[in-house]
Amino acid sequence: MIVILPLVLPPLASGTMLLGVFGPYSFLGKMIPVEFTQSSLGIIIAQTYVASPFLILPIQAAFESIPERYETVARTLGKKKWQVFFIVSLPLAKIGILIGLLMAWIRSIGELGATIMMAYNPHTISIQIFEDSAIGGIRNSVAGIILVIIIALVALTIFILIRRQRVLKFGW
Amino acid sequence: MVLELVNIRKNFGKFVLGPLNLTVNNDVMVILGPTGSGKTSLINLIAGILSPDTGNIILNGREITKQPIEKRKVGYVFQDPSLFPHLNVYNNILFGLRRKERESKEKIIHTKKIIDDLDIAHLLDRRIDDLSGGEKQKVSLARILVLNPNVILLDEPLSHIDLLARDRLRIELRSILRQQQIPTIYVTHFEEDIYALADSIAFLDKGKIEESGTLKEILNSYTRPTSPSLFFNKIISAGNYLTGEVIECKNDLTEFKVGSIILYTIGKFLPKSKIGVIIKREDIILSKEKIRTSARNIVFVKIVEMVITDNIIDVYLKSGNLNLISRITRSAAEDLKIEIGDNIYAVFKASIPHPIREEKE
Repeated sequence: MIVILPLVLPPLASGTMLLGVFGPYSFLGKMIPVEFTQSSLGIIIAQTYVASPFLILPIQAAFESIPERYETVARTLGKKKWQVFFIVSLPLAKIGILIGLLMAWIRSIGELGATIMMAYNPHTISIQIFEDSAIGGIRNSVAGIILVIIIALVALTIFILIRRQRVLKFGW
Repeated sequence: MVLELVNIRKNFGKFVLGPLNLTVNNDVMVILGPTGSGKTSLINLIAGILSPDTGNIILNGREITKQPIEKRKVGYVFQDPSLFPHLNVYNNILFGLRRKERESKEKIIHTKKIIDDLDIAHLLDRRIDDLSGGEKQKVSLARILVLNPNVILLDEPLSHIDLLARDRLRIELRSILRQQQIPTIYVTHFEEDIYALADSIAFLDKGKIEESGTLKEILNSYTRPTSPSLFFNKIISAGNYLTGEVIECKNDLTEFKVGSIILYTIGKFLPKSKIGVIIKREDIILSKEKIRTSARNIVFVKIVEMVITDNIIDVYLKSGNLNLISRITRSAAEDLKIEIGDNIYAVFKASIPHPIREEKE
């Protein structure tokens, strides 16, 4: 449930919620002398929160798709549970983890709502496009949009390559 | 090494395995049983994948019941070879070895020998997906043998393999397992596996061992099988198992001696080697008089017992050290007018005794 919450909540609402936890007048903000908002740290918190389902869900699916028998076989071959995790489960889930990281990264680049609430400054690319467009119209934000499209195309290509690699390697 | 199961019991809710008592010496015990009889659960208990509710598993006098899986040194070949898809064949074989072991000269030589014995040296760089079913099972076997396991457990390893490859692999498996000289449990439902591989047999039904004994004891049993299972009765009553010494082999016709009786079979065997053959009960013809026939095997025997089941009669025959059982219909027995104590001829062609292996000394 907690994992999917960022997916169902509107990003602006998520940002408001995060402000309630990390804002300068919140319990945490008063306790810890660190600037959570209007800083790079604020961007990281907001984007981590919003993008986390895109990382967690594919990784969870990747681990769940590994047939349990591999772990049993590894244990009969003398490996301890933690060794099985590192030399069997993790390599078999590797491609799912890469897909999760990539999807979370793509989502973070496009994130606007929660980040605006937590840290309008320094500007992320999405906030820059938003601001350019608000001040000078679409024409003013073309450069940023093109940059985002290029990043998206590169990410998409990497995604397709990873997927193909996974199917070739494991057949699932 | 000796593997002992003492009063092992495991409750699965609707199904209870045990209490079981079983001893496996340095040979191959084949465990037979219908689907759902508890065969795989039994070997999972030995491997430590399951733990028993009560009872003890003892290996060479040492209790291993509560030992974790990885410490038992049990070589388990699963029905599905379960080779790791992210490793190539060679790395799958070396998987269970520690880094230090991989570098030890002794281990390298041992690994190479196993690879050569199993004839998989040409596969070492291959990906797992590029192997056939038989090749995968060989790699899976190599993967456990390099670890010098204390016990070998094989769960229907040939069931996913096509018929031709299965016959070939069975022969290779027999020679490999014989070399190991460690307690081996082989779970199967193939009759051929029993004849080719078993030193002893245990029949499991509804979680209990119904019958057990050496292959010779079971197949040549002079008592009627007591097991209620048709499956097991079919197997143990199917054949006569004879062992003899080869005298000579000419044009594929092998002459061998069982006690003082000379018999013939088809196949090439070296003189003085010991062979084991199966003769199906139905294939032995009985005749009151000596007949001129193309059959090479004509043995003068005495009827020592007749066991009647519905319209079928098992006629137990004896001549010196040779014991045979012939299965005939009730009407055939009535026509022949045979009785216990009669002397009679048992007749079968040279192609009937089916050589299944060269016997251990």
